[in-house]
Amino acid sequence: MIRCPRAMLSARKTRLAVLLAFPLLLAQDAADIAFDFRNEAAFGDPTPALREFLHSQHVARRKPAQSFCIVGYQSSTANEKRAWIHWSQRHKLILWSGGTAALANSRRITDLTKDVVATEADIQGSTYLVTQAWANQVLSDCATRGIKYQVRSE
Amino acid sequence: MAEFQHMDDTKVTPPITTVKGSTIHLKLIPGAKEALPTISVAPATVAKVINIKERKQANFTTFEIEAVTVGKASLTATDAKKANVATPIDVIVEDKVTLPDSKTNEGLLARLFIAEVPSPEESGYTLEDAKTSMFWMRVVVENRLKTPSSTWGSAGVTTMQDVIRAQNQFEGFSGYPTLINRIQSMIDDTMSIANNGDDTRRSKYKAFVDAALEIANQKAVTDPSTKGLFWWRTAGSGSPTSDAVLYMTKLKNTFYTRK
Repeated sequence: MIRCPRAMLSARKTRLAVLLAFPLLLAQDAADIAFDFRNEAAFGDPTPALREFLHSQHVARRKPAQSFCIVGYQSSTANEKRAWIHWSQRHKLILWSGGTAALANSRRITDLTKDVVATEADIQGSTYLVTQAWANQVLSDCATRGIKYQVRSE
Repeated sequence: MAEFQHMDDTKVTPPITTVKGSTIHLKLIPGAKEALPTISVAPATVAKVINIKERKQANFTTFEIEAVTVGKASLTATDAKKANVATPIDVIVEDKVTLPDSKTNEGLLARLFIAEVPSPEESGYTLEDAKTSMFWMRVVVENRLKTPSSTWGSAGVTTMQDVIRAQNQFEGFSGYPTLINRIQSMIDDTMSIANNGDDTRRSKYKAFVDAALEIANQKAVTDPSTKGLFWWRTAGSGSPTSDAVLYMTKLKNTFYTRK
């Protein structure tokens, strides 16, 4: 995990408190709010799961550390929590639903080079294609409040 | 008294339920000052003890039970006088759970449910919600077949396989019965856990697979909505079209009806 000076951590905590207090204006669904996966028993520290995931993706241990950014969302209506993991080097968004399931078996691994369409009209009923606006929003949320990790394969 | 334990030192709670073809790893800890007992399973036609390893210095025995055929057997530990030194434990051997042929609608639906419904290891999972999700997914597929339209990616379909193989509709299924590697290995992992008597996750996975089979095999399903379920999406990933109205989010998938 990237280490931050105490002042930055404090600023991050303040920002998080604000985010938790108000629904996100441009979240994944209108009613989604932010949540900090690190404080959730079902989520917690993702590092071991990321290491195992890299191994499953045949990323050799000798390869440079891979960059991940994780951002959590919570539905305000269904108390459903999820986090999206952006894997920069492979241009993927991995759905992390918490629990002990291996990330390799995530129900959704969005390939940002193939599974993104221009507009909602282009989704044409698909269960898994996402719009460019949606993908941009997740990446933007990651940039502003996501937690960043550098991880090597196990 | 001696005690049967799992390899993680937890006490074996009777009965031991396993699967035909599986091997369970166990150990036996003798009571204080007792010699290492003889371990056996009878009848051997149902299950047998293999790979007995006596750790004389540490004074315990490791062994495996190989499930041979469906039935019930008894695991015992006896001393030199053939008296039981541990409470006998029933060993129940169940048949393997398998998916229907991939060419059938039942096989197609069961694979789709396993791929699209969160597994028992994901947070918030309940078997009841998994069954409801599978049921609603089947309703979506049936509705798309009954009312072909490009609005839900089923223009021109005449079979259930057409619906599920439609381009970009269900991840990994457009080349069915060949699935993309990631989806195929997810299904393989699920079946492997459901059939591994030595895996502590087995009973939950078995129930998950049984639910998929039950709903795939149902003769008919009734749409729970008034306007018809036609889509589902990963929760939080946006609407499938401006023609859709959110019906309900169930186990991390959001289902939509027509306006």
